[in-house]
Amino acid sequence: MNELEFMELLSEIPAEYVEAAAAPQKRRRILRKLYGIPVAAACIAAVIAAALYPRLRTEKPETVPKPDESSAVAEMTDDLSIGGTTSPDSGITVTSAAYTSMTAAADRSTTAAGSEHTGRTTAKGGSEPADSERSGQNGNTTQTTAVHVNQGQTTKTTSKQTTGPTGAVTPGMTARTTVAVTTRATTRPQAGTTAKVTTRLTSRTTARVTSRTTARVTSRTTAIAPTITTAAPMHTTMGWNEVTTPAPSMMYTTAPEAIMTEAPHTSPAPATTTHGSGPWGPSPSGSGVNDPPPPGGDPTTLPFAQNLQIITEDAYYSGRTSVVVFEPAVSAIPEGFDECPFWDSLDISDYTCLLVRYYGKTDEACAVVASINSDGGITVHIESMGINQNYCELTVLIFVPHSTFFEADACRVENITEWNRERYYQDVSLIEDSLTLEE
Amino acid sequence: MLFENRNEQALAETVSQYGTRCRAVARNILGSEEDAEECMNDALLSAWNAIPPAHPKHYGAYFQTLVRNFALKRYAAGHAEKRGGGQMPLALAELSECLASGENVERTIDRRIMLESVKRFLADLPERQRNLFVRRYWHAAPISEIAVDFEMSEINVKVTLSRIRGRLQKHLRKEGLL
Repeated sequence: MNELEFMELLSEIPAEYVEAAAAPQKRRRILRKLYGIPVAAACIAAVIAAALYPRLRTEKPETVPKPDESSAVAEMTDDLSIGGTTSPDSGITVTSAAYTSMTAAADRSTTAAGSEHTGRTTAKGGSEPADSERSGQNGNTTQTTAVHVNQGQTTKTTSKQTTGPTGAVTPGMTARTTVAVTTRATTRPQAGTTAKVTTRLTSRTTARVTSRTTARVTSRTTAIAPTITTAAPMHTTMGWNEVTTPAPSMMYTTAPEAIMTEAPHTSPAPATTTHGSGPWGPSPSGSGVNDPPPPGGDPTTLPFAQNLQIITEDAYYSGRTSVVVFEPAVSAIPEGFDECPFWDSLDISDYTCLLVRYYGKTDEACAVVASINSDGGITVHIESMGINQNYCELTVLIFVPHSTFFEADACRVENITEWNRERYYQDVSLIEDSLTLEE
Repeated sequence: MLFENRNEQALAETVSQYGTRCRAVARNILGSEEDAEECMNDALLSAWNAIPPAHPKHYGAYFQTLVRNFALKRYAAGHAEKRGGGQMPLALAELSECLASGENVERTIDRRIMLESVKRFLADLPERQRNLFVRRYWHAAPISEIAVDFEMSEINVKVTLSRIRGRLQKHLRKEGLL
């Protein structure tokens, strides 16, 4: 059959096909558009998958290591004790209170552990009654000195108190509580595309606080001696109050005898002299002349040390005197008094120091005696023996017992004149015979 | 009904209803309006003579078939290629690709068997592709007209027809007719 015969053959196909083919052929355009949208989306997804597939295949699967068990467990302290009591020393009972907290946190799967708080307070110390307290040690000691109420009087109150946890420390004991906090963070980035950070916070606080409070209040007003002008007489004394009646015994106590030492200085100094209590008494006021000691009265002599320095051609300081009051401490020794034996021989915590500086037109001077008079003033007797061509600075360090009252603004310097020198030395010689040196 | 009643109005009605489409088919095959008109007249005479006793179910298709057959006979007898008109040369050329076979040139093929096979082939085609095939090879409509009617591009029409012919050839070979 050829093509023409085939076409003739098609004349015998069903009439429905002929009429359907002859009818208008309308296509539904909406379907075409609807079909286009998912097809486009599928194509885009295929392109994206094709681009990412090779990359996904090359990446290693992320592995999650097992969490460290130790990091998830709270860290315990060895000395864990909650509300218990410990007795670090015999005879001491304290309440234990230790503080320990542990917090563990991780990015994956691990959770922060709960915190535990334990407290521990360690008490350490010995018990001593207050009456046998030694300076520098702990103890519930209160020491208060009497106070003058006179105007201008120096008020000195000394109290020493050491406290510990209330109700937990035997009086006289020291409670020590220590607090320490440690933290630790661990960061372990994982190789690859994932960075893993594990943070572990460990805070362990052991309550250990040392509390030792020493209250020592000293209030004192120091009055510097008024300036003496060069026009004024070189050697003057401040106002003296003549004492005609014996001073109360409480005002005069026997100061510990001590050896006066002389600090090195640049000019020949007189030999080491001693001092002590004696019949040396106050001189009439305003005259500047040292009179014989009045009847009665026994001025308190004080241990002192001195240091002499020559100041060349410095008239500005001539005749000046300055007084500084301070509490002595071995960590703050005034310049020039490093070799003072009193630092070792005396319990300096029982003394108040006066640093008296005297500027005179002489190249040779020394302090002979320092004493407390009936009025509470301290007098330093100085002897000038050199040639009046240079100026000198004589520094006298006086140790005043806490049990002895003195008036800081009544400190003065008196020069031993030629007139009474012999007498002085005579008196001093008498004193030397009666001295008993405290070793 | 008018043909059964031997009413000459039937011819007028036939021309008015199916005349345009029938002339188009004849024109597509013969390539000439005059020849298409002559085919139209021959088909009307044939229909007047056949009805009754014939009672076509689809009169329009029946009449179109009469017109087409006359056109094909005229084409075959009247040297249509020489006239250079119509779509027949192109359609025949297209069908020759799937029908012509050097091995089956001299083989006598029962017409009825061929017809039944083609019917089955057309029944298996989707409706749109079937309409497209019939429009091209039964109506002998030009590609441009088919592209407009089917809202397709001419290239798409050609590609679709080519695929249908391929399926026809495969079908005929499967049934041993090629």
